[in-house]
Amino acid sequence: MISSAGVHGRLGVGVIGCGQAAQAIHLPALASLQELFRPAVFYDPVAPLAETVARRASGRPAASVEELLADPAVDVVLLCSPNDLHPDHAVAAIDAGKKGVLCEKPLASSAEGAQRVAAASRRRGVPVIVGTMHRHDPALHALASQWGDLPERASWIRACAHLSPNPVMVSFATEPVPPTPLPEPAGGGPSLAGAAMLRGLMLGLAIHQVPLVRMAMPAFDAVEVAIAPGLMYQVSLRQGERLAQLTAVVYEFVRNDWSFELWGPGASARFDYGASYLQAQSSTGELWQDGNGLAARRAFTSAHENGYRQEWRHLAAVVRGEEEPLTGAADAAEDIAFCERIAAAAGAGWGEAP
Amino acid sequence: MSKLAVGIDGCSPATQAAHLAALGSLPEMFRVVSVADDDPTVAREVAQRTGAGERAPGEVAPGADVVLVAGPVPTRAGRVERAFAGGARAVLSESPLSFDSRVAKRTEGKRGLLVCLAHLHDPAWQAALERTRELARRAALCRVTTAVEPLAGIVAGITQAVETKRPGDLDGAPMRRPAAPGLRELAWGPLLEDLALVRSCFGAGAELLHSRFYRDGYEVMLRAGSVPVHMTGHTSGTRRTEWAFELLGPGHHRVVRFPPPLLPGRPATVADHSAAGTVRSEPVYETGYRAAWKRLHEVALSGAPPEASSSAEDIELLRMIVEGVEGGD
Repeated sequence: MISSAGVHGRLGVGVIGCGQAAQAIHLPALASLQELFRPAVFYDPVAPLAETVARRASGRPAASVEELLADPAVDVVLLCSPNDLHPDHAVAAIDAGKKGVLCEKPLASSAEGAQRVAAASRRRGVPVIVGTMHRHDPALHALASQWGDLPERASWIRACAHLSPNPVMVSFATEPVPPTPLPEPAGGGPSLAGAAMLRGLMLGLAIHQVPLVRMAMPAFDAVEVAIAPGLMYQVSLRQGERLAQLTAVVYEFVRNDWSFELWGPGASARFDYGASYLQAQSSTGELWQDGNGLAARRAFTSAHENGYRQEWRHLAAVVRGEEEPLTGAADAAEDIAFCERIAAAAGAGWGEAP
Repeated sequence: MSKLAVGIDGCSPATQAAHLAALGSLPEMFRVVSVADDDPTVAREVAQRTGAGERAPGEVAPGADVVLVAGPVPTRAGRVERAFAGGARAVLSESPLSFDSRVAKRTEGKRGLLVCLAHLHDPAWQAALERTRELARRAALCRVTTAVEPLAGIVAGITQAVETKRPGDLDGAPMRRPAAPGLRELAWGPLLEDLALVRSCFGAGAELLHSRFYRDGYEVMLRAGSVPVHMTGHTSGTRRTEWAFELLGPGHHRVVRFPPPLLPGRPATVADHSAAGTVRSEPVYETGYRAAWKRLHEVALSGAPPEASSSAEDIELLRMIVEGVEGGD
């Protein structure tokens, strides 16, 4: 069912999960795209949170996911629910006849879950866009249009995530509604270690960079992993004579460096991701090329655009049949499977070879 | 200030691109009096450029107060011996002193010998060293990243080096398998330099956990004390260079960035990121090469032994890495 505004007017957005991602990332992006979208209905298991956020966005709260999906004012669904629930919510939105889904990353907490979404998306022809926003960033597209076959030729691929903790970034981006803590499960929360910890880090943070890493190195022969308490990991993948590294360090005062690099013969490229949560910061790309005795360096920026807005623009264009989906749930499932293969090699700590 | 007579024994690209530039910028301290190389043509041309006398290989001009040894690595220890036997008060040897750590250790015992590790001598590194060591004690990770273009490209960008037909300085350098010249150069140059930085920061005794080589570089994991040290090196195919030594820990992030090798006029920079903000420091108009020569000047005049450089330990560790003794390919 499509709302009266529907395909040719503004698309009504139903928001499932009203936490930081919805408040700091998506509502500001939607607010800047009023010609395309209208936040309509909000659901969160913490009802006061849904009410507050709905009021801020001039929408209405829903008492359940089912109620939200049944509302004809909802054309597309934003999923900011816990990762484990993404597949159920995505499939429910697809089955409810919604025209598109934008799901916060990761699409699922397992490749199997993501594949379930991919199957539903394929079966019903409903696009599912995953919120790895940098993949939609115009600076990346500009850079990628010029780097030719560098991803295949590069012998060193480096994905770095030195970031401040999310609460710091959220506090810069918006004034979040304080969350009401959900009751702790009996016996306390799970204590993560080793592979489970790495799996969480891969799906929570590395997933942003995995699409690009996988583009340059679709498979790997060997993996070495080191993790440390806190959000730190060092992953080294090898495919023949090539090396790919994914590193993360999350400290409050770390120098932010969220980047993807390709180092190859005669050329190298660097893409600096815009900081997460911040709408105003553009990503940048740089390309170094040597030729005819000259060394050239070119820079690409997103100007006044960012990946968050672009993924929403892309969703609107796909729903209207104006663009083919850049990626889909099947790609996301492959990304998650890639992470799972890495996590399976988790070492016991820094410096421990698995 | 006493001006010391310099004998040059070995006109490698480093000699021509870095040392002659450093000596030329310190005229109040040094004057080049003799030049020797295994390739007589090279020796003659460099001697003409410097206005110095040309000598046979390994022959030090009478009256040379200090000697630069920079010939092929297997010959360096012997050249150092001859320089001291010839009356030199101090000797500066290019790194590595030898491919054999036992030879290096034996030779390092010479009073007045300084091994030139430009980054170790870099005034920015030295000025920051005490604080770096403090931060290292509570670091969660030390990371060293070195992406440099092949030496020939750098030298060509600095000076018009006289090409030689004699064997290269690193010919015969141990490697675990046949490797591209750039990879051998990367290991026995920048990686050895970086191992010296790690030792300078954490002290001796770093443990090799594993090492891997890939097409254009290496990845090495050490444990220094309780701190993991992750080292990546890459032979850049472009002029793009990155050479950084980082310490990361709760509440601090120190980044020391080094200039591309051999470039005169550019010192390292140090940046500290913390709750207090970011503080950057950079000594002006000084380089590791000039600093090494200044130190050699002090050593020659005072007669005091230079600080222990212990490059033998780094050579031993490097041999384990390049020969795949532990965890390698």
